[in-house]
Amino acid sequence: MNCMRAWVALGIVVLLSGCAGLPQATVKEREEAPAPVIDLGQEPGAVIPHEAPADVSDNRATRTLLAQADQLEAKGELEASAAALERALRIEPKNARLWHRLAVIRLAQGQNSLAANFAAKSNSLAGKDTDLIARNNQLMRDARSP
Amino acid sequence: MFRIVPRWVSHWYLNFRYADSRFPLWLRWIFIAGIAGTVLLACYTVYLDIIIRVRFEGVRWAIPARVYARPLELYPGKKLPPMELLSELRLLGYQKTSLLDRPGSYEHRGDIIQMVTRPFQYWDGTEPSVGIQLTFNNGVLDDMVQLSDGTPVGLVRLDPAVVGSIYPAHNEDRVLVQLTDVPQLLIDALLIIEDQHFYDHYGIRPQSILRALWTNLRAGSAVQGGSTLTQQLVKNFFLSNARTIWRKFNEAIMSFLVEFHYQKAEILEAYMNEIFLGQDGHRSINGFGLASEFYFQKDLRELKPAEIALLVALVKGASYYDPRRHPERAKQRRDLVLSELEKAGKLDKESMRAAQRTSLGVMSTARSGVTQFPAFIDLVRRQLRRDYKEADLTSQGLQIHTTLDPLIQLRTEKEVSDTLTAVERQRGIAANKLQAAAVVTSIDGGELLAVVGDRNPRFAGFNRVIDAVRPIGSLIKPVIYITALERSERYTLASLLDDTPIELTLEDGQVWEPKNYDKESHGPVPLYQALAMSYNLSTVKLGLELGTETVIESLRRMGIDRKVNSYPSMFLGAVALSPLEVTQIYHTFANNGFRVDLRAIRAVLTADGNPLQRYSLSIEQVFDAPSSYLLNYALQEVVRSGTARYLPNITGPDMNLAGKTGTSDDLRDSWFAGFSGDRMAVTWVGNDDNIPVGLTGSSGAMVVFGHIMKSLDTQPLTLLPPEGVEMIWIDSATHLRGGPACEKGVELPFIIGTAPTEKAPCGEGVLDKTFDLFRGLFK
Repeated sequence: MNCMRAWVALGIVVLLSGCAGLPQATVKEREEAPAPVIDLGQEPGAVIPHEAPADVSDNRATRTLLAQADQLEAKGELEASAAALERALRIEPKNARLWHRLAVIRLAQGQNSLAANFAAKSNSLAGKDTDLIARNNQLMRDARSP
Repeated sequence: MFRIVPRWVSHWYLNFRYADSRFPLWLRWIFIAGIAGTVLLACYTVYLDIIIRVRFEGVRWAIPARVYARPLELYPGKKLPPMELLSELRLLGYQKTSLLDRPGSYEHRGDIIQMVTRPFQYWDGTEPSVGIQLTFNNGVLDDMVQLSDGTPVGLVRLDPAVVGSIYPAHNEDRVLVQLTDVPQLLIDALLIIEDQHFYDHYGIRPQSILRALWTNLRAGSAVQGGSTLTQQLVKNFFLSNARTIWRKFNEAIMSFLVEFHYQKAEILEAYMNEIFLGQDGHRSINGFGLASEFYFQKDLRELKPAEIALLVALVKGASYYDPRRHPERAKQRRDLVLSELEKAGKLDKESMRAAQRTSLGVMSTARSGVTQFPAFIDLVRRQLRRDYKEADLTSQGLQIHTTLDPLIQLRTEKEVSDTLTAVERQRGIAANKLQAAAVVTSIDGGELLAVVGDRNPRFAGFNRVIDAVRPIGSLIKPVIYITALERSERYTLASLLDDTPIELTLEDGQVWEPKNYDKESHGPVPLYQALAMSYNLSTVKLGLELGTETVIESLRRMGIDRKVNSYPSMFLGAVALSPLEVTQIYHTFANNGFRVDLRAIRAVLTADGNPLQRYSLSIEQVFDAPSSYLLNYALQEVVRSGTARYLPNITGPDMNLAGKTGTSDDLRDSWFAGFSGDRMAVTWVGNDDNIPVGLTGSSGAMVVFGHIMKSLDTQPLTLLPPEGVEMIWIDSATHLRGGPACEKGVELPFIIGTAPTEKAPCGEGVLDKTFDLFRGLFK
């Protein structure tokens, strides 16, 4: 009879151990599954006074997005500000001033080469806007200086 | 000596067999068998427990990545014919209703569309739901105001269309719902119909099983199931449909284990996401979230009582009550569910009657999760694989926001397929013989807007856009010409090239003797004309002057990594590239020398909407502005007077398109690459088995290109002369500086200081002659 009790007890132990200590590992693994996260460049950059949205575009949607980009930039959320500018560029892809603004953001993020390229792109669309061309050229010089 | 049985075992056995005991031997045997059975059962339970827990945790995670199209942006002044917006709303599954009582509804009267948009979580934040009224005028969104008070609205971003999912091999899809997102009525209905004692039992309910057994015995067949929700969930997880005792046994143990480990709310949530509710080809429709999309093209939260009742009705047998194939049965069962809801006090009589009067409301065509756009999804998947593990893509429920413009995609598909059929008919080619690929991109943003990898765009097989690597023929020429034009001290558009026969002895000793397409030679030809007419002889000579390596270096700058053999035959396009690579090259031209790494993805979010990664716009100037301008001028000349001069007959005369035809040896591949002011596209027409198709670039691919461009509402191409470029008249007869007075004068752009200085007789204006006269007098 003692023997039987021992067997039953063993059975229960096996059963409960099965119920209690099982595979947490699989869950963990999933939680840890890494996906790349980019550095969102949250460091507040120097806020440069910009031209008013109305001077950049007469499109209301673009101006809304520009205002958004300005706010984000002021908060130091430069990548989000760049995203707002890219969204504006989808609406007005040939707006040289928008490309210039994107160059300014990238420069503030320390992405100098990209900034210079955006400034060059802005120049390629600037036509006879000598003021903008001068600012782009200045930005390119800043981007190239160490 | 070797013993087969250990001593202690034999000792125990002898004791067991012969010892004096109160119990007879047979009883002792039964006792032993009982113990052995318990041990086995315990082990088996442990085994089932492992399975249950792995699977149960898994169901919360194994969700394929969802792929979204670009969202449509609405703003006053946008070129957007109302019909186009309506197509988009159809893709999004917005419901036409005059009530406008919930997100995802719209009303359309003439030039006015009213709608309530759906909220959506984007990379940069939540776009809230808004009620807006849009007024259109001549294909332009003229005015946008709030429905409530008429306040002007500047910008609204619609929710994006779902264009596919990234599946693991077994084709399961889910729209994950959390219990908090499930309408209470759905939970009520489910519990009333399927398991009224859900909150009281421990996974199984012996009373229900016995009652079902009794009913079934009396009926002589299985008419009632006594399964609890937990049992149904377990059945869905693991078990076949076979109604065996063994299965019932497994089901009971597993149900008990599930209840032992998890809260009722967790079980209910898993059930909501797991239960089988329909079949879409190879894809099974699991869970209420996906079923809601599959049947109603709606978010679960948007469902009305009648729709909720139908989904609950389907639990009993999704194929037997399939509302698309057996609407009568489905309606009967739905109405039953509705009256049960009323009996239980969850629905008042009036609502029940109203709901029972409505039709099933099922969308006639399912929004296929087996994607409509396989070539594009394939491209997205390949781009994502660089950054993510395949397992994460198919299980983490990532949200992939792409650049696909479904309206442009659908048009491109239609034009590809219609044009191929027409070309086959015109040229006497057997029907469905030709194959094609097409890519459309935005120019400044470098986004892939449409990708067609097969003339049957729903066919998810060989993706020609990426995998058809074919000789590009004359499409290579602009690469040679821009390499020359960059050397402005040596080459201008007016530079004379020598288009006369040439013989080359190759490294292997063979003699290569290229020919022009018309088998003629054209003597000295200006550079722009050699490109426009796609002359081979002059191009080979120009290429030789520059050197193969120099031209390959230009290809590299444009982002072509594939190995290119450094043979002179490359100058005539013995370079095999995919349509996507050709797009990368011509996109750089279209973008005035700025290379953009073409993007199919804008951002990736986690399943619950947290930003994970943004793919931002990145550009690099690889050709200077003046050279790019000169090349694009020549590419416009291709369409004005060169090999693509028929193109304006298709697209209309005012587009000023630029582009280039390409044909491989023996007319095996027909290519065209070109651009307007805001769109660039590449088309390829040929055969998979590499049999000649008998089409040149202009008789095959260019026709497809033309129809695509015509179907897109694209901007004409206006080239802006950059700083440092001037327009100069050249006399074509003498190739010297001419003037408007020259009979064969052409005005060409030159980088300042590079135009010919010597004047043609016709180019000397009256003032010049007078000046010369005076000069002569004072000499």
